[in-house]
Amino acid sequence: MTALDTEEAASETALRSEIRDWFEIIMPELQALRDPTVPLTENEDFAMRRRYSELLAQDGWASLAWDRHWGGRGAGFAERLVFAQEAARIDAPDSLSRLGVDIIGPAINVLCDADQSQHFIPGILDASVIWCQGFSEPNAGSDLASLSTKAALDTSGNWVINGQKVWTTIGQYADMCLVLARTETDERPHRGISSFAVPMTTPGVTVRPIDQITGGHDFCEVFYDDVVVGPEALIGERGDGWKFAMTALGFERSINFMARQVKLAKQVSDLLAQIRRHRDAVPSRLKDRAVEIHVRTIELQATVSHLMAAIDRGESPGPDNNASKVFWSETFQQMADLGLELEQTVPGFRDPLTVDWAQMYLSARASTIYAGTSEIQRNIVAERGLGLPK
Amino acid sequence: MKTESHDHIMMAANLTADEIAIRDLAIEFFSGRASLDSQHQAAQRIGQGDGAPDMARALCKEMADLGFFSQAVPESQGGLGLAPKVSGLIAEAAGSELVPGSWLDQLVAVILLSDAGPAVLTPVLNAEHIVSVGFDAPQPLLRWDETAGTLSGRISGLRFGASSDRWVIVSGDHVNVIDPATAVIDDDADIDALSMSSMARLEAAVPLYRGELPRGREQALAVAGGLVAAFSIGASARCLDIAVDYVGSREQFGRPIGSFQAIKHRAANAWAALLHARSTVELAAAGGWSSGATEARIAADGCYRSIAESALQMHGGIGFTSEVPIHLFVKNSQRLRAWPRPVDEALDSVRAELGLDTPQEHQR
Repeated sequence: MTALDTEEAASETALRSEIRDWFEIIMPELQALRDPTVPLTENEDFAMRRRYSELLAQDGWASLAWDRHWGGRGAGFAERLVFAQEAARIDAPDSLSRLGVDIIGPAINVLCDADQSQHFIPGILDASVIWCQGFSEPNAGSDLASLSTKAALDTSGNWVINGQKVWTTIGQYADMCLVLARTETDERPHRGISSFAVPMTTPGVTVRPIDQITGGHDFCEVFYDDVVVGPEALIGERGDGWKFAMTALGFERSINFMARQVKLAKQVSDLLAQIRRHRDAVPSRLKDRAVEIHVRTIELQATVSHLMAAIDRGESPGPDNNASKVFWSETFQQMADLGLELEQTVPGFRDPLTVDWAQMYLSARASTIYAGTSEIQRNIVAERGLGLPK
Repeated sequence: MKTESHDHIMMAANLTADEIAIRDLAIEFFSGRASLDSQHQAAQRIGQGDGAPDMARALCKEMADLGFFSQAVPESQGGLGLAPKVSGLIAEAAGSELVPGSWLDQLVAVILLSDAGPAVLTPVLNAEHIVSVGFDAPQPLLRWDETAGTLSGRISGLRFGASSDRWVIVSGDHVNVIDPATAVIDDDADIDALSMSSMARLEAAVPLYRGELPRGREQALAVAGGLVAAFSIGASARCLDIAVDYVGSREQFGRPIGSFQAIKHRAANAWAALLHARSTVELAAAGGWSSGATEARIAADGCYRSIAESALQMHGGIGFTSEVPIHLFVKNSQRLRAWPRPVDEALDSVRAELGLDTPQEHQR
């Protein structure tokens, strides 16, 4: 170990204990928002997530990765990983302002001028404005560039937006939506798109939560009927929408692989602990499956370190990230499937107050679909990673 | 044909100048001296074994002269004392040419014998003695008679046992050096289609050397398994390159078959398996194989076998012939599965480590 390594290790340890202390303080307040005698309800979950996002903002953790200019600490991936690990360790909820803080805000910061950044970013970092993302449409999912929501200038210089978005995560709780809309019809599909910041309370915006197979409502349909917004709602330049979407997706991909791996590692570790507690009753065959899932989790952990090192060197993780998303989602499904089978097989294994495996099994079905289906991910890996012909 | 595999070779970002130099030397040496193409031609000419014994001997000698073995031995014992990951780099470079023969045994042996003293170590370091390394089962099949100073019982998993000068056998927490002349080799176990390892028996054999393993049996297995894993990564990457080149150029229905999603997705799965297994091996190597090496071994084994099988399928009928070298990967991946211990045993060891076993299961 070099002196530099030792120094890094010491500062990581200090950060970890600072974060751990913070969670010790705030978790009781969050826990008080739920009834511990019944499984967590959706309303409780969202209340906890909202409060958590406020606490993150209030104590400066929301801006951990942001520049000092924005009041942040300018943390790199190593520090963000420590935060994610500590959050997973204590089962912290997902922050409601995550989309704004990790994805939309950074994209605004990159693509907008100082005035516009100053207009939007403080509200993101202090959690007073919760953002959602209006990208996908009923007929533009994997093929995002074919989106058909339109924005047209009226005679007074306002934009009039018409169309429908779908899979809008936390649409029912958000204050603001980043909407991609077509402003030019004669350009090539991805060239004629612009992005808009649309307040969710604007007349003509209708939000309809989608009833999922889990019984939950993480996503919404959002309808835009003659929604009028001012010229200041245009993010960046007219026609910059595709660039915005790609920048945002880039941020999403670079942070998500870390968050999802850390969370999965915690879930697998909890599952292994539960198997240990019931080891006399768990069939040997199911233990072997747990070992295979453990090995895949180790592989994911190692891959995240590898991808983070690449990002720290200024490289883009590229198709490796797509490949890892496929690997992660399938490991997650294998884990959920094993958890459910254990629940069905081993008396007393079921403990819905901690993990409801049936629920986990159902929600895991989505993981190979959202953020790019496994099929699209494999196409990207084959074409961009391996250079196979389109 | 150096496409993807060398872009990715291990830990390029974390290597010292010395380490990069020895890695590049290994790549150059293996591609010149024991290239996959030359082996493919030889296999077409003389059969499909894992390299002729005389070639393995000459190769080990040249590797010894280049310091590929002494790099793994501490300076205090007469070696170059490089970091443990360097052995991984050499193994990965060898894997990308699918370098045959017992050089891997030789490399593992110098690590296991680094405390054995010059009389034992030097001839192995210099490749004057070509060795085979075998690991006894977790519940030893070999019996050590303390009073007589003899070793008896069955040995399995000894690769190239019939053509080596010394056997280095790990049993319990001890390493033994045996003269094969004092053993009985069961030849009939060596003739299946995949030329698996020899089986042999020892009857009151007197070891030429017997000593405690520097870091115990599990760690010895972790190092050997880690090197197999590194080799497997090099081989997997090369095998995938070959398959991707093929599907990019082979046309049916007027298009390269690699433009069909059924082929693309197979290739993408291979890439994903390789990425994850490679990262795991890198991390274990960087840590000197002291943690995560067994998991890396398991991951690399699954990756290698699946990529070899997939590459054969992607080639279609030609993949089932000796016209293309894919069969060499398929066979090699199966041979390596049993060494230094069966992968199934490695899985059992992880399972025990995780504390999932009942006492009865643990006894098994």
